[in-house]
Amino acid sequence: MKDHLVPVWDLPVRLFHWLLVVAIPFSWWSAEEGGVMLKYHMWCGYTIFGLVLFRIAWGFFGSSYARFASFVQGPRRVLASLGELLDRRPLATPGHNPLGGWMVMVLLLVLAVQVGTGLFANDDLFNEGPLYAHVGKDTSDLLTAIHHVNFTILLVLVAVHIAAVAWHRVRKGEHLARAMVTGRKTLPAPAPPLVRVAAWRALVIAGASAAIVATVVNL
Amino acid sequence: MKRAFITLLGASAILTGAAVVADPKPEDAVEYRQGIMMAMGWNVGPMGAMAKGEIPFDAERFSFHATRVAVLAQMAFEGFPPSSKSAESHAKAAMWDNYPDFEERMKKLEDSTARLAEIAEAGDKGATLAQFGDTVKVCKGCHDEYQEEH
Repeated sequence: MKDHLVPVWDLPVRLFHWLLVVAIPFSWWSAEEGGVMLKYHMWCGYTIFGLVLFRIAWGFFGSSYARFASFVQGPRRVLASLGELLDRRPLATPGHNPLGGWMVMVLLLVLAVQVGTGLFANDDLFNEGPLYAHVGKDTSDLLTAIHHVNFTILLVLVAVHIAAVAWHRVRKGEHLARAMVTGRKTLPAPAPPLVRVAAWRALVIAGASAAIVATVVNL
Repeated sequence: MKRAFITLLGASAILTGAAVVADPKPEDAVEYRQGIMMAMGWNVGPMGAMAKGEIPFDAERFSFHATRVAVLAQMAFEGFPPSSKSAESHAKAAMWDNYPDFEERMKKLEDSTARLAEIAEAGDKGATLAQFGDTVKVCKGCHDEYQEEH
């Protein structure tokens, strides 16, 4: 069987992914640290806010394998793909497989909830999210509690995500982490190569995302 | 000097407090301690803003608030008598179950805030903010352990 090296992840997708890999642990650490560190926790949260906005837009206007329409599948397709996920052969899917595609959506949703609640959160000491004043203490306390529970959910999902990548590596011989670095996947069959979009599009969307974040945190 | 003053204040507060509120109603104890916490937050706010660089560091103002927090810290523990367990509050059941640990943490808070007041009075920014960081950890530690999410 001949292997095919196919470009699937463009630079924006990879940057998005690895910036999250830096930002989520930093958020965790700075939150545990608390106190003055929450200032940087909040900056990190704004960064993640921007990343999530960017990725959502990239899901509509980005390169082919980044688009939601290319990997969000119905339940029947997801169920049908489970067998392939369990056997020992590498998948022929160039982008996200049907189950992994849903994981992307769930992770984006949980990150959005995390960022959204964080904007209103407080630490009962001297830190308040930038939108705290719009809701008052009681609502803020509730949203803070959700912020904490939702982070635990995020941690579980991250663990499942890493375990799945390890599964693909050990059981199926797929190097998914490497593909997220190089952008190229080794596939057992030929696949349509990545259809890229112009770099200016990524820059415009990144700029718009940053502008939205700046506007929201200064409301 | 400042420490002696705060200790004296604290001691007199405990004495008179004990005399007046021999057996407080549980709901009163909750209201009292929430008031103390509110007053602490009121004073911690400006110190936190200075520590974060949101407002310029003002040694005199910092010292003013640190002194108040040190006094308030000495007034806090009496608001948590075991008899107030029955009243609805944000205290976790674990706090009552580990009461000696809670008491120890409150003692730590008194010590830490007294030290903060002392260091803040000397006026050195670096030392003051370093101690502030330590004190905040004591606050946070107890909140994380014994304060219900609400």
